[in-house]
Amino acid sequence: MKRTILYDWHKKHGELIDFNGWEMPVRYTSINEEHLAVRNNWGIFDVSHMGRYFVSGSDAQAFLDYLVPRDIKAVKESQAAYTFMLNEQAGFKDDLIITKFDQDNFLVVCNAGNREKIWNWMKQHAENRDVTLTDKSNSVMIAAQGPNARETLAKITNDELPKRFRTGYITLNGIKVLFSGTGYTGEDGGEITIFAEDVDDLTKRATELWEKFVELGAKPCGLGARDTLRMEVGYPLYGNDIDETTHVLESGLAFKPFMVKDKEPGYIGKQAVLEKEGKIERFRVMFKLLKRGVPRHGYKVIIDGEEKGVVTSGTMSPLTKDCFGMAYVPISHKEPGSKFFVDIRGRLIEAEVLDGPIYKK
Amino acid sequence: MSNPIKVDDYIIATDRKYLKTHEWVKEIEDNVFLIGISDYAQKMLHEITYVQFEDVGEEFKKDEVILVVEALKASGDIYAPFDLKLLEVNGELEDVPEKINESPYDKGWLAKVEALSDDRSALLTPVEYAEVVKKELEEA
Repeated sequence: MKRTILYDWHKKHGELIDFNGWEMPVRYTSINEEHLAVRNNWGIFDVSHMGRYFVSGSDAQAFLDYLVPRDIKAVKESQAAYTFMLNEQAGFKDDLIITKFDQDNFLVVCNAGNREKIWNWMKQHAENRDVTLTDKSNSVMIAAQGPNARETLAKITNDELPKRFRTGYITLNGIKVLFSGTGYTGEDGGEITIFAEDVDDLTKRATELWEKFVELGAKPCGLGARDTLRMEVGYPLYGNDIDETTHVLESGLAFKPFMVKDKEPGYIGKQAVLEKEGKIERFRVMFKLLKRGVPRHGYKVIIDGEEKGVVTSGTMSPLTKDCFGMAYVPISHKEPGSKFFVDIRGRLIEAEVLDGPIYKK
Repeated sequence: MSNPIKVDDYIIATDRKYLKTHEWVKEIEDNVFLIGISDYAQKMLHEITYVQFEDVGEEFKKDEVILVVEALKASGDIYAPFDLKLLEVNGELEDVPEKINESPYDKGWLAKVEALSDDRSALLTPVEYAEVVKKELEEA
């Protein structure tokens, strides 16, 4: 199995699982504690397993603008932009963050499970263009998330921390890092990347930084808390809630600025988007169970006694104790207040479509 | 609990029987049993968040699922060790499901049942159950 540079620390302090071929911590203490630490204080996550690719060259902007439905031309310098790569059928190849350093230099961060796929996809489409792809994944990326993350990080830098969805190099704890005002928990904070060429000893410096965060009160958090946190704010997890067979118009993500449906001069999947506009049959919704039970990936959505959809994520909220999740339901049931049943191990529990996530800051 | 068996960090109480699926079964009156999950099971499930009970009074055949223990990252089905009738469920778990984690052999009991058959073939002694846990740990 693959390991991140911080593996030894995780092995010593956490419980490890296989996540898409990566040996990663699922928890260090308890998912509930880690979850609440991020909501109430701050926590840190090793997200080094994600892919990091530099895209550079005079065609870099046009290239990425063609690969994603977001208007990359409109992304500002030093901005980090959430979007996705689609296949020709407008299904998801991945969801990702693209950072624009300038119009010739970008960073693409993709999901761990899609690293090779996205690399090959970009390689394939980069042919005959002035685009250079560089795999920068041999680096360390730490997400620092929570209401107290920024003010605490400010204690170990003299630089100004880039704001939400802004990016820049800063000196943190004495080393050069890329700081992005991004994350996947619904909390303020950022993601810190240490590139190998910027430090003398990556493992040593990254471990020192991680331990510095712990010393400053950050709770180390595993993938378990990362999952419950992103569910509470309604963020999809690739492979669970969206994949190659999910049409982007069904995903609840097909809006500006993540995507400009009729963007010129075009993007991969555009034709399939325009053809399907107004004709989708199912839609991803957030729901809450009206009685207790725990909905999980793969459970059936039942309407009028028939299977009409599927739950893709679900849990009991560590914060509110609501039993909730995400599901694909028929378009007739996508509006808030719509009701359906979830088949939880043979027992039908009624659910109601929510008008937003369980938690919003 | 006299002289529990320990397999690694997992405690196996010796005053009751077990199923290979990690439930414990303890006779408390003639033909009346308490059912719970072992220390190993609660540690494997981790943070238990909810127990889905069936209705009291309902009857189950051996090997049928009588309730589900839900944890943050996993669920565990609890099977009937013999034909039985559900007499009572541990109502305190409604508000404090983590009692199962804290006290799997005592305060975290799940259900009180009445046996409806004499078939006890599924029950393992603590020593036999310790072998089940050892084997699972070796395979993990």
